[in-house]
Amino acid sequence: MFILDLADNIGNRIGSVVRYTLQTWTMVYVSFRSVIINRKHNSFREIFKVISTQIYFTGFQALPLISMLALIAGTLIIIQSSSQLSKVGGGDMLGNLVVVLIIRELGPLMTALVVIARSGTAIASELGNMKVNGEIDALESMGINPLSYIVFPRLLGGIISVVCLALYFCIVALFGGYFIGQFVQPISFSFYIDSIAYAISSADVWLFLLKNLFSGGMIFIICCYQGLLVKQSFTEVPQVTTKAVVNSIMYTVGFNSLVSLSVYLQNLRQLGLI
Amino acid sequence: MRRERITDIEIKNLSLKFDIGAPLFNDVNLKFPLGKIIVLEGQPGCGKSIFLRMLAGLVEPTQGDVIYNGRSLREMSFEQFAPLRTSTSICFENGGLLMNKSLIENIKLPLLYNQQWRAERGGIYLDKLISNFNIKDFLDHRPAAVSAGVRKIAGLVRSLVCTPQVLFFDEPNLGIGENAVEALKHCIDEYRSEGKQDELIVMACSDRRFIERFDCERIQIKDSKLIFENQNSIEIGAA
Repeated sequence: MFILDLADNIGNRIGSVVRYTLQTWTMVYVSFRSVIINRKHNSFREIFKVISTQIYFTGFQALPLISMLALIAGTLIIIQSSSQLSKVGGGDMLGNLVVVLIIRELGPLMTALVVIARSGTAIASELGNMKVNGEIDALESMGINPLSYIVFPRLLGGIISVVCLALYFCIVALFGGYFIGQFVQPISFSFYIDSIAYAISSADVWLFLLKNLFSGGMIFIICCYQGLLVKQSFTEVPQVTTKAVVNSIMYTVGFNSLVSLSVYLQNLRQLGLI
Repeated sequence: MRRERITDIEIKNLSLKFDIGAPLFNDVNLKFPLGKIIVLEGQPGCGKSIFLRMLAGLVEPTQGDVIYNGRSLREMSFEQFAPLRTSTSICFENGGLLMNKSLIENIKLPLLYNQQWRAERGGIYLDKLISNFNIKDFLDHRPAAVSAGVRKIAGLVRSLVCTPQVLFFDEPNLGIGENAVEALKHCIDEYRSEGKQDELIVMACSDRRFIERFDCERIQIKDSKLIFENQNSIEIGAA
């Protein structure tokens, strides 16, 4: 009986995850379709205004926080890596370690978490409040499809912002971290630059883009979807906001981990270790 | 967006029921005559606003159809209904403004988005409405920074500025002050005196004094049914 119950629970959980994913992607499909198919009817100028506002709020306004986190993370990684590697005579590997940690792992993950905390919550609660206030009905009554006017620009603006913020995070972490680290652990700048340039490969660029595009997409899809799930009451808004944050973190961290794991398994296979 | 002229609006076998409570409407049939003002009356909670929203295609009935130009709203996608929808306009009871835009941005939004700014009387008519309703001082404010009455007036101006063929008003005179009520009356009279025969105004209103100022057809909503004061002027089914 226990095994049957367990199987039942697992089946239900998988079913609900699949259903949730399908519903969110249906929303995305309809929002893109309504923008692309009705390009003659939609005012791109109005949609572009919403995209630029979204980039301003999600991307530009997050720069101070991202700068601070990137500086701290970059400094710590460079100091720790340099000191630990020099103990075992692996100082030449500094660039490889820093690139893997910052570009492949920390950059996408920390950017995603900052964006979820700042913009994901804001979007879920904003859309929830819009629903309760009747603003979504008002848009429909004016012949404006809420999916093309609200969801599409937030999604596009959000993805652009996440990719740019992650790139900014990596640059600040790599260079800002180096300059601050100089006070504690002096390293030659030419050695550091050569080491980084030698370590960066096209795989790093692809992984960086893959992780950030997916994270950006999923954060804004989930938060828009949760916000639009509100029906009648303001008391539903904090509930959907919490759920939006939890689901965004689960999808983002889960995907990032899955990608990293598959890349390292492939590396091990290439080395003949598995 | 190119507007499509509305030739008839009809509701067939329309029923609406929520999860809790008795049905709000039960098997209602009605053909709306163009060129008239229809007023929906009834006690608070009888379903006037939701009836307007169903007519505007914002609420889907439990059963039955709302039919525009012979086409059921159930069978039309958002995009298919859009040309007809832009021939209509609704003023919500609370104004229905977007909170992250200023009043003027809210008012201009339907014209700009549907690319009707040049096609319509646009700026001149907007200036006239703003002046008539006396909201010039509040145009750059966001809805949260002004009173409920000003929000409602901005909602009225937004619905009027598109010069729609069919206007839905939800308690249009509630809480807007005497001067704005006069301006609204003036706008409706002007709208009606332009000699067009296919305009329709459907108004949910519980203020008898305001209703009596118009030459209108009155429908009472009571016990899930529509009760007509003058049955000759409206085509009724099994209401």
